[in-house]
Amino acid sequence: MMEQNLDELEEKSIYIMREAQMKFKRLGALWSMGKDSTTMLAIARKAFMGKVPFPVIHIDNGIDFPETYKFREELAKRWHLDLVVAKSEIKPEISGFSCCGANKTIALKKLMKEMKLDALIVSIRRDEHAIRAKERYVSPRDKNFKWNYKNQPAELWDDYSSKIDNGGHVRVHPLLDWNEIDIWNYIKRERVPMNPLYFARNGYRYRSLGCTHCTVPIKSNAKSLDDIIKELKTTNVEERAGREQDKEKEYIMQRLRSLGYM
Amino acid sequence: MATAKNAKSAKKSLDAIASALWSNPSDDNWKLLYNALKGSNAKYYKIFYESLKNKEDLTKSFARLYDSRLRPIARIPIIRRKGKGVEGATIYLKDLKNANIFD
Repeated sequence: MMEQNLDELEEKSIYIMREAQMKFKRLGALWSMGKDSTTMLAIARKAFMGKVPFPVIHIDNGIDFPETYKFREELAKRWHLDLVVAKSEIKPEISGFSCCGANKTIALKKLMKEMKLDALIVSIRRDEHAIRAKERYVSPRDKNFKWNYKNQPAELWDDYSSKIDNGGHVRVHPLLDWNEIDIWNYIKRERVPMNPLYFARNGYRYRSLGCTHCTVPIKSNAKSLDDIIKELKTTNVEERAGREQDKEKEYIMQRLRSLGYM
Repeated sequence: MATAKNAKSAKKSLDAIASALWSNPSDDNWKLLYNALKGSNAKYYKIFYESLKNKEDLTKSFARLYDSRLRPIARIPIIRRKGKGVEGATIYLKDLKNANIFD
């Protein structure tokens, strides 16, 4: 049953990525070296015969975990990724969450303009956050990166809108229907390489990864993939409990997403 | 295998570089640190920061480096001023493991 579910999810994700590659002239993908975006790259390799045919973008604020940088370099080399690192300036005049949003969105805007990207693959999932649950598989952004969550295109059957507003771009979300345990089951099945910070040491691990200043570990003894999967089946702790940014009110998250934050 | 003499000398070198970084967090000094870490007994790092409220607070962030038995061996800055902004440098610690989980 689990295998069939993973096969269906994988097939849909492959379909969406292939459609995006066909429909958009300049496609890119965001990679945070987390479990979701790395899984997305693994699926992309399946979709495109072992290669990732679009640039893979890391928005680097300089304070990611060192393990994350090491993982980035190792996997980019191993998978021959066209890695583009967009340096961002940390803007901490505003609070932690807004710092992340402003910091990364500004860097992304600048890079997309330089690379003239018209579509961007982002590995968000509906189950991560209530606001992300409102997203579409193919979601337009206007020229100011704004997301009109009140007026989204219909997605009927397998027909996805590829219309780009003047100066805008489109976000492609191939992992939207996946949930956290699906991701880990897939990682286990496909032996997708993972950032070591996800695995427990001394009774703690990182369940969701952000930068060093905004991510705290959670109590856990899950040291292997099997342990993590077993833990997820019984936990009542939210996935992003260790992310400072998500402690803000939901309408703030919605507002920031509507302004272009991932 | 590292001898006590080697370990002592590596520690002195790390202290000197850490001191240089606090007074001048330049790219060259960061690269020196990265190379020095390879030959040292540093195994873990832990990030400390005060707040994200303003750039000045952020530049006070630092990382403490630890050996394999979690004994502290050096304290280094990890954010520096760059032009009008600030820039992080945790990439230079990429061969170490995170100890923030050891709380």
